[in-house]
Amino acid sequence: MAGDIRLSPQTISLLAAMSETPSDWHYGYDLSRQTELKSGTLYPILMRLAELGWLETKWEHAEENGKPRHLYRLTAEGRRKARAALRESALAARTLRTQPLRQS
Amino acid sequence: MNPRQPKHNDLPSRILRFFVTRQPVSLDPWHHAMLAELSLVEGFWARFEWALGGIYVLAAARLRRSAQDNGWRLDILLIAAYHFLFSCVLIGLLTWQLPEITESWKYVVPTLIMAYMLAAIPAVLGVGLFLGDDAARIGTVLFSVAHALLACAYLTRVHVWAFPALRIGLDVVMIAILLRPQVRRAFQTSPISLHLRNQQGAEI
Repeated sequence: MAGDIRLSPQTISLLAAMSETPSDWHYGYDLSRQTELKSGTLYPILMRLAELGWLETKWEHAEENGKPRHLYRLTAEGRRKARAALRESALAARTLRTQPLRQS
Repeated sequence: MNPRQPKHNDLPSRILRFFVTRQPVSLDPWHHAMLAELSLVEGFWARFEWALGGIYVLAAARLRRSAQDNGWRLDILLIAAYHFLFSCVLIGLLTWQLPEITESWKYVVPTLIMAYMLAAIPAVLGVGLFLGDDAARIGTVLFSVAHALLACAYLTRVHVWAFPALRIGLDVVMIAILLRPQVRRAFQTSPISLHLRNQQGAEI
């Protein structure tokens, strides 16, 4: 169970992207390209997940320009919740595909 | 120019930095994270889009923080702002039409005063909502119902439907918000209980 909070499709897509390599740190821009989420959608989700304790953050100096960059990684709790949310989402999608339309 | 060379001083960077430097310190890491990532986004329009998204995030976070700090409800704040803006547009339209008046001012002035007073009603309701006045909440519901009915009547007479339909939709959303039990509770003042005590301090 993902918990008592409602997860948007965008949040699910971000969790899916981060769950591909759950132990790796991710850059915001890379996540944006991977999920095709704009910065105005991506950062509120990252902020919310960090508030919930699903995400840990750190600063690192980038190789490209030596400037600090913010990195994100799922915490143990985040990984657990992400797995549950992705499972629920896949189940809901499968139910929608297989359930016949109700006759009125 | 090296395509991977970071761009720190073009228009999108400057716009986003302008907003980042004016934000509360408590949200700093996120502001600077967006700014840091911007230096790696390729292409002017992609960078511009990233900066605009960042500004939206900053503005929304700031508004939410102010609402929390001051005990405001964000939905009520937006409804109050909408009504304030509505009055501003009406008053602006009235003022813009003033040079077109050809009648004698002796007859026009009383009508104008009445028109300006009517145009100010939404702003008065907005101020009332901002102050948490329950009468303003009820007034806004009635005003929105009247406005939605007028917009419906307008829809039956013209073929341009998009804008009136949007306004009707907004009215319906505002009515729904203002009638929610938690909003009604937020507008109710807690009852004052008075106690009489005798000279010994015991309650009578």
